[in-house]
This record gives sequence, C-alpha cells and structure tokens, in this order.
Amino acid sequence: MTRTRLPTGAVVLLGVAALAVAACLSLAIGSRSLSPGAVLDGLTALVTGEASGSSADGILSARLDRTLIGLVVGLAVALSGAAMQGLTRNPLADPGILGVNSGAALAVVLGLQFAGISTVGGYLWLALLGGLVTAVLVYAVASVSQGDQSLTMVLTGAAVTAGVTSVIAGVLVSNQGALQSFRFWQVGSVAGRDAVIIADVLPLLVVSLLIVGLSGPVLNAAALGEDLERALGQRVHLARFVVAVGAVGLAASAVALAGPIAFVGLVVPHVVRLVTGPDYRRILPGSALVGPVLILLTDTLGRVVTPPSEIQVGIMTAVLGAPVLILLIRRAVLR
Amino acid sequence: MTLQSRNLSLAYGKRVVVEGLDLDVPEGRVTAIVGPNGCGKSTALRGLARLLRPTAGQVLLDGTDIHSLPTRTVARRVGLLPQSPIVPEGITVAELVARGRHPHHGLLRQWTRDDDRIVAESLERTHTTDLAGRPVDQLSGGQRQRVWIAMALAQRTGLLLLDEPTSFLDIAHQVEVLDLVRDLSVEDGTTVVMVLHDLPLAARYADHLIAMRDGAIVAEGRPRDVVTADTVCDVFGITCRVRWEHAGDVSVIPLGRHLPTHGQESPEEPPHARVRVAGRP
Ligand SMILES: Nc1ncnc2c1ncn2[C@@H]1O[C@H](COP(=O)(O)OP(=O)(O)O)[C@@H](O)[C@H]1O
Ligand SMILES: [Mg+2]
Repeated sequence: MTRTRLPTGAVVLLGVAALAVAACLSLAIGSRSLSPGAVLDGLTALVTGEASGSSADGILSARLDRTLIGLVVGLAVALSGAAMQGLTRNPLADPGILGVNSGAALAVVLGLQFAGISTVGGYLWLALLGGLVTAVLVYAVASVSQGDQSLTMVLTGAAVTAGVTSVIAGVLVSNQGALQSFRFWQVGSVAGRDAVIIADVLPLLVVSLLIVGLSGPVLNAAALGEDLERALGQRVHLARFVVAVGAVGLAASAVALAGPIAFVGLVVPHVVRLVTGPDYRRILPGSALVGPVLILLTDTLGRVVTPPSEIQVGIMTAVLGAPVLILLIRRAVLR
Repeated sequence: MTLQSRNLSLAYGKRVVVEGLDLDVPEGRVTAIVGPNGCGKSTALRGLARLLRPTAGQVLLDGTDIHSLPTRTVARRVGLLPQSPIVPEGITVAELVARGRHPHHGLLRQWTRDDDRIVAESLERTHTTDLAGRPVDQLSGGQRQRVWIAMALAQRTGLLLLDEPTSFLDIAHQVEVLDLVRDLSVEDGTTVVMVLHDLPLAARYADHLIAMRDGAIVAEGRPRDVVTADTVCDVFGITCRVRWEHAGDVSVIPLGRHLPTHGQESPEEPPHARVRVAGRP
C-alpha cells in the first residue's frame, strides 16, 4: 500500500542515461548507418575542426544538427506541456492540443507570406505572438463556458487547430512555389536545418526556461485548487500569468525551430509522473530530460521505417501520441 | 491573534451573498458556524481568509485590514481548509502535508530540515504518521479529513478556518475529527472557526456558536443560548423540539409534517426519538 518514490538523483541519472543513448542512436542511425566508432571519430573531427574528408563527415554533421535541434525542441515542448497541465489542472493540456502550436505556426506563415519575414529570429516573435493570442482565446472560451472546463479547453484548442490548419493550407495553395517549405509549418520537423538557428531563439528560450523551470512550487500549490492555492499564500493570477507566458514562450521557441510538434508535451509529463509522482519540482526536470529522448527516438525511427524516404518527426509523434491521448481521455471520462 | 470583520459584504459579481457581517472570532476558542445550505457560510469563511475582496467593510487581522497585508503574510497566520479541496492524483499523505509549507518558502528559501520536522509533527498531531506513505485517494473519509487538517497544521498558523470538516463522514469519524479540533484548541491554543451542519455536535464541541441565514448573523453566543427552538425555526425554517440536558448535551428533534408530534408542550417523548451525541470534550 505504501508508495515509495525513486530519489530525485536516481531519476535525473536515469534520464541522462536515456538521453545519452537516444542521442547516440540519433547520430548513428539513418539512411546510411554509421558504426559507433565512425560516430566517435567524426565527432572528434568536428570538435577539433580537422575534417577527415570522408563522406561520413557530411552525414554526421547533418545528424548532429538535427540531434541538437531535437534536443532543444524536445526539452521546450515537454516542459511547456508539463507547465500547461499543471496550470490548467487538465491532464490533456499540451501546446499542440490547446492550439498554441498551430496559432504560433499560423502567425509565422502569415508573416512569411505577407510581411516577407524569413529569419528564425523573426519567426520566433511571430510564433510567440500567435501562441499568446491563441492561449488567451482558448482560456477565455473555457472560463466563460458553463460546462466542464477541461473539456471545453481541449475542444476549443481542437477547433482552433482545425481552423488554423485550413488557413495555413489555403496560404499554401496560393503559393505553390513555397509548398515544400510551408509543409514544415503544418507538421514539424527537425531535419534539414542548421543548428546555429538555436542561437536565434536563445533569448526567449532561456527566459521561458527559467520561468517554467522554477515554477514547481507554484504548480504544486495550483494542483490543490484555487481556494487552497490562495490560502497557501499564492498570488493566483500573477503566478498563473507568468508561468503561462513561460509555457507559451517555450512552445513558440520550439515552433520557430521545428514547426508544430504534437503530443510530446502531452505524453512526456504523464510518463514522468509514473516515476516521480505528482510533485512538479520533480516532474519538470524529468520532462526536460524525457522530452528530448522521445523526440530523438521518434525522429530516428522516422528515418528507417520507410526507406529511402523519411517521415517527419511531427508525424511520428502524432502517430505514437494519438493512442495515448485516447487512453487519457478514457481515463478522464471514466474517473 | 485576532480576526474580526466589520460591516463585511461579499459578492460574486453583482450577486451579494454576505451583507453587513460584524464578527469577532474569540481567540483560542472553537467557533462553529451553522446555517442552511447556500446561506453564505463558505463565502464568509473565504472572505475572512482573504480569498474574496469585500464589496464593503473590511476584515481585520490583528487590527490591520487583511487586504493591506501581503498574501503570504496572511497565509502564515490564517489557514483555510476549503469545503472540497482537490487531491492531486497519486499524491501520498506525506507529500500532501508537505504542501502546507508553501507559504514559508520562496525562490531563495527552499525545503529545510525544519520543514521535515514540522511535517512529521503535523502527522503525529493528527495520528496520521502511519499513513505517511499511503496514497491519499485510497484513504477512508475520516483519514482523509485528518490528513487535510495535518496539511493545514503544517502551515503553522494560529488560526484555522475549516469549511465543513465533518460532512460526508459517519458519526464515528465526525467525532474523531472534532476531538482533534478540540485538542488543537485546548492543547495548542489554536483559534478554530468551522462550518458544521450537525447542531448537537456543534453545540457540544464549540465554545461559540454563530447561526447564519441569508448572509447575515441571526444569533451568536454560547451554544446554550443559541440553540433554541425559536432560533432553529428562524434559521432553518423548521419546527423542532430542543432539549438541553444538564451536562451540556442537546437534542434537536425536527417535528416534520408526517410523524406524530406529541405536541410541542409535552415533555414526555419516546427515548428512541432523541438525538444524543456522546463524545469528548
Ligand atoms: N464562485 C461562486 N460564484 C457565484 N456564486 C457563488 C459562488 N460560490 C457560491 N455562490 C453562491 O453564493 C451563495 C452562498 O454560497 P456558500 O457561501 O457556498 O453557501 P454555504 O456554504 O452556506 O452553503 C449560494 O447561493 C451560491 O450559489
Ligand atoms: Mg459551504
């Protein structure tokens, strides 16, 4: 009956080990697989700057880019999902499901099409704006609704996503030339981009990371319901607002880097909770480690399931995440 | 520590629920609030705990307007157990009680050994030490209520506001919780205000009784002075027979419309119709 929990140190150790394995797989496996030795040699060469000139160098360098981007995106999306679940006390919350990702993507696409914005730094602020607007909209609809708030939130998010996706598709149709690059804004991908773009999102990423990373106690108090949260001395509106901006900031950073990636923010915190229990001071760091693991593993899987072509990571996570969503809904309804 | 309200009015939007409430919570005593469903008991408690901003009047904590104090300061002096708090899924007793330490932490002040000690003491005080590792959602109602009180104790406030701590509990578990409340008052000098539904229990366990109707106080004072047939009729709108015994026990027998009444004057009544509560203080 008594429940014992793994110590935080052990959780972190497990997460780091899993992350190391996932990163190695992501570097080694692909249309052309590299032996662990070749990966190691190539990495040393990249670090020391002495390219050996072999074709493995190019492959490895591209894989390193997508691994690094996957790492950052996984961290951002999973933390964002964990924070959103805590803030809304909704087990189904996730930047994808609540429509924040697609809102952010729409803003980027509109900026791209009508304002000619085409730098990652530009995408970032567009994504933040689009994400914030969507978050406010979904929150507003849910708070005026009479029924189940959790459900309203999810349905509103789904409606926003459906509407936004068709607008993006509309823009896409009117701009045939950009078809390939626009697809990226419909379903996310970590492939084919240079890792230096991470530097472009760093300001927002770091600030959001700090906010959400330190929000464990806030989310722990929020989990007890608004009355008790207040009675425990939390300034409810201020705290919620700040953490929500952090969560949207993380989602926007991820969208600017890789486009909208679904379900990772939903699934990861639930998996982490199985080990850590309901303490957000443990769920958050756990999610920050497991998020990248999931992205890297699904991205790697996407490279090998349909050779010689690849499947975008955003599609892979959706395929794997949908059954989990159904499971969670069943549990939420039966409860 | 004193808690008072002066001409306090509380509303949800335009809907005024509590109006002109003047209240002096007796220090170090147990106060019980009784009244029909929806009369504003929970609202009054939320107002006293600074959860609602008054539309008029004020709440005074140690003579200072409670809304001029920082949220955290209030949370270190006044604890509130809401009527239906949420149990986070899978949380254990010790983890839940630990959350009571929230107002004592900040960005720079993290968990310390002191916190561990206070959590352990709170568990001990409520006889829940043995439950520490158990998931809260698997406990009985009475155990769960004691765990919530332990969480409020871990907050280390001199004042506790408990909203219906005994609702949905059977009589044995009600007595268990109320005995604990009495302990806190007598042994620790904690000031307690609680909302109760059971009049005989309220009369037996409270030093001070407040009867509310339509957001206002109808009667207030020693239980013996408040629990009378007239007041019960006034507050709940029912006719009943109230009998006080010398030990301070009271029976309140609603007469209803269907059962033979024996008439209000008749002192004789079948013994089985009496509601009596045995318990401690
Ligand atoms: N959050 C709220 N928003 C609007 N009305 C509320 C809210 N909470 C309570 N009320 C209304 O205020 C009145 C008093 O409620 P409450 O204080 O909970 O009564 P009690 O605790 O005495 O049963 C009720 O009519 C209730 O419908
Ligand atoms: Mg109530």
